[in-house]
Amino acid sequence: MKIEARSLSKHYWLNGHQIPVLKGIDVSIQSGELVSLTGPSGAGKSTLLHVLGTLDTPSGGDVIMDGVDVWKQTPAGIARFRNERIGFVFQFHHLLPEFTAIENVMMPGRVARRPWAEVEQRARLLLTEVGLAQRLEHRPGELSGGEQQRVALARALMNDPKVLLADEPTGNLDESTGRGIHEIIERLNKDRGLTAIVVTHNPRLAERMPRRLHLDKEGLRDSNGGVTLKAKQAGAEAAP
Amino acid sequence: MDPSVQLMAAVGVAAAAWLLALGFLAARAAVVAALPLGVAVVAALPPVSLIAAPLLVGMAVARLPPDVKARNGGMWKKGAEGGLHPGALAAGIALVLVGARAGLWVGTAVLGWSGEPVQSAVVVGLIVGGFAGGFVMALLARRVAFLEGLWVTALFSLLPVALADQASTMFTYGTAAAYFAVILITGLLILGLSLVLGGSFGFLFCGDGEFQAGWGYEGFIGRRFLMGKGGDVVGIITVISVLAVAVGTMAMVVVMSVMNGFSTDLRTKIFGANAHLLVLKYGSDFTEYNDVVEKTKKVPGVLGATPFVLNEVMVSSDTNLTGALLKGIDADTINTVTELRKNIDKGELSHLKHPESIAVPKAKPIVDDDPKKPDEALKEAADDAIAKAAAGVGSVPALGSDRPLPGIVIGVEMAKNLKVFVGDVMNVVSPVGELGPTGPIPKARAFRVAAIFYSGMYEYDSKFIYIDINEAQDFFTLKGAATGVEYKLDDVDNVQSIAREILRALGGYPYRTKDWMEMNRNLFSALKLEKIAMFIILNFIVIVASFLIAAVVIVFVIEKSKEISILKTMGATDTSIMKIFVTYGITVGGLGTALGIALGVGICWVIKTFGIGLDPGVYYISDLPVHVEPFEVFLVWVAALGLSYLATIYPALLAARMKPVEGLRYE
Ligand SMILES: Nc1ncnc2c1ncn2[C@@H]1O[C@H](COP(=O)(O)OP(=O)(O)OP(=O)(O)O)[C@@H](O)[C@H]1O
Ligand SMILES: [Mg+2]
Repeated sequence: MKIEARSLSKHYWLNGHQIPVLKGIDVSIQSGELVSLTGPSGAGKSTLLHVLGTLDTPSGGDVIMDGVDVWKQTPAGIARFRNERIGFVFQFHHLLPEFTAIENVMMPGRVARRPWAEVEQRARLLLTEVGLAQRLEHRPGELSGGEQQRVALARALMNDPKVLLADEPTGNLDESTGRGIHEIIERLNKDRGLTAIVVTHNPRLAERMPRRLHLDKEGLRDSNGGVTLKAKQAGAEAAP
Repeated sequence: MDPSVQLMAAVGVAAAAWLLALGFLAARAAVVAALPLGVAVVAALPPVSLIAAPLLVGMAVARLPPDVKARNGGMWKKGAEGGLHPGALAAGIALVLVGARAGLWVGTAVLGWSGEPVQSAVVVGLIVGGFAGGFVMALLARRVAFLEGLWVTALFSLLPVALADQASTMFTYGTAAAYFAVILITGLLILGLSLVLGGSFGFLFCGDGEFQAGWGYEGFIGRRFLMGKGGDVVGIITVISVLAVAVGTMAMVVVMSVMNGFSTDLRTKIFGANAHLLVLKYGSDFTEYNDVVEKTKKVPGVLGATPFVLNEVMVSSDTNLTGALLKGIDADTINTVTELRKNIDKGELSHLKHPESIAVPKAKPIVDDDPKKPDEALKEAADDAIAKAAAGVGSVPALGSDRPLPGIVIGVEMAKNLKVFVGDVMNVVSPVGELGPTGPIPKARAFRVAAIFYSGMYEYDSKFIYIDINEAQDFFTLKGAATGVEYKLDDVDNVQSIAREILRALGGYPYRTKDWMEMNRNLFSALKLEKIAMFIILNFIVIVASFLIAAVVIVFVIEKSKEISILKTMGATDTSIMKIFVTYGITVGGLGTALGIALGVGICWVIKTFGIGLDPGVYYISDLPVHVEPFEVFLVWVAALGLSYLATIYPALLAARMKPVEGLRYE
């Protein structure tokens, strides 16, 4: 799925003060691209990912997915869009602690109100794919950090999304486990044409990605001069 | 009832409703204007709100903070950040108006009701109109339209003020302004709750801009949330909230059952000692009472009939003197109407007819009181009358003549008071004596105590005395006339229609009827008022319990904020999140009410079986009475469950409104 941001801006309000975070971002990510997003802490990487993923409202500008202005839809339409098209993975895996691994993976399918048996079968398959066939009935508290993150990845893939938005998926993992997660994402990108944006602080992992974006207070830019890059900072005023 | 009293009550209720509506408007405007929560709370307080409401609304409209505007908020906007949506308000008013009018029309024109029953038709109209209005308001305002609902309710509180004359035709019972006010408040409360209920349903099923009836995974998650995080079978929060609901429900069941016990006790005692219906005759020549009994015994619904004579008298014994109500009864048929025979404690009722068989005590029991009493003078007057009677004035058989003294039945309290026992002699003085040379001469006669009864009602046990009806006719020189005929009916609540049938059988005038409600009007209207007061107090218990549920669910929502965010990232809609917490609330409410009702009924059973002793001197009843009415328990269950639902709406909305990112930023 093609993702476009047009003069996207986001600022927060705190006690009546405006805190600008994203200032006029323009970016276009083609369907099937695998993109890394790097940048200093507090630059707004998570914020950008949230706004692109419809988790947060932009303060200005549009998010356009496959030609559709997502924020022009009804709340139900946006939720369905999130459910069917986008998969999220976060640094703190964010599994539901009351539910077992397989129930967690099944959840997006159940939110889509797909038949239970079908959802369960797919969840089993996905957990097997990420190497957790033996951990189906474990609750998050009974899994290691790496296992939890793999469950979260399986969950993100439940409804066969077109886009994967991963926010430091390997931030809490050791180098090799992290590489394992990245390999799964790369494979999904290759095999299924999954469009993926992966935020990471690890330059070695970022290096592996075909396209690398860098966000800092200057704005968003392509750090390897990629052909589709169209990043600039609109109306940015450098802080004194 | 007096229209001015009613108007006063209506104005009071409307004023309260408007203060509430203005207070919430002021608070809402303060929130929209992004003022601190403290300002909103102060602005909502009654005297402040009158000025604060227009000021704050003006402020919210004039300079809306940019961030609120950015979130699509505003005073007259729809959605979570809006204030009061004018379109929704208009739709709500229109639908409730249609509902109320339709109810009125169906009640009066279709069903032909008038007076008190019309109230229920209007209330049904308000419920239907309120539900529909709330639903539509939720669709238009894209939220559970609390404030709009409150304003619709406040506007409707003006109707009884504007249409006071018309409304007064619906209030025929009760004379106090408070009674009218309570009915009005109840009506408005019902309207408000219907609006909120309709609004919550409208939001639950259409709040995301699409109709979404599914409740599959929401129920699954909601029920799983009952568990603790560590996989415990039940979480500690669940346990606390279930107990809170259970305690409230239990209190309601027990209090209502005890109240029922008291009123059932009172009713049985009143009906035990009193007839359900009297037939009286204009004039004082009711001699054909036996014909009347024969003619009316066959009327459907009549279980028994017996003639009686009633008069006020004074009674005296050797030691004391008191006033009494003397009733002449037919000992053979009294049993078919009252419980007098069953209530006899000592002696025999049948001895009224056969005074010769009353056991006369050999020696008088020693009375330890000093016979010289303050009311000695009165007693002497009575003795004087007896002496006169003995001398041949009146028709009293002289003491010691061949004829035995006639029998009399008195209550235990009077027996204590007069210090007499079965077989003792006491004197009855009638104020309606014959005219002597020096004015009316009281008429006195001696009686022998044939029996002592205990009815359980202090009033009866200390005031009523019974003699044979023929003896009474003779004593009061009624020339064979009775005061009336009393009846026992199979259905006391159907007394009015049975009374009509009896009158028809008798041909109407000069006969008339008087039912138990008329006879005990003061007592029963006091009871009704007491019930209303109790209802309000009980409601406070329930309101406190539902606040507890609301607080517990709010805590729970905060605890689950991360989970809410996660579910939203997966595409769970706002209404789905709300459904999850509504499931949680209803499950907690269901478990709590079930537990509470089980405990309440259990406690009632224990009280009934083992008894809780009361001081009979104070309550005139030996044990705490309990009477569990299944229908009322069912009502308590429905009300408690409904309240748990209502208490859940707001916290569930809080959960629904959480932004997906809120719970994602931290571990
Ligand atoms: N709700 C909020 N209110 C106010 N400011 C916020 C809010 N959320 C984030 N910010 C600010 O926005 C800025 C960007 O935050 P963001 O989480 O996007 O950074 P990031 O690039 O992901 O950093 P990191 O690499 O440390 O995760 C930060 O300076 C943060 O303080
Ligand atoms: Mg971040």
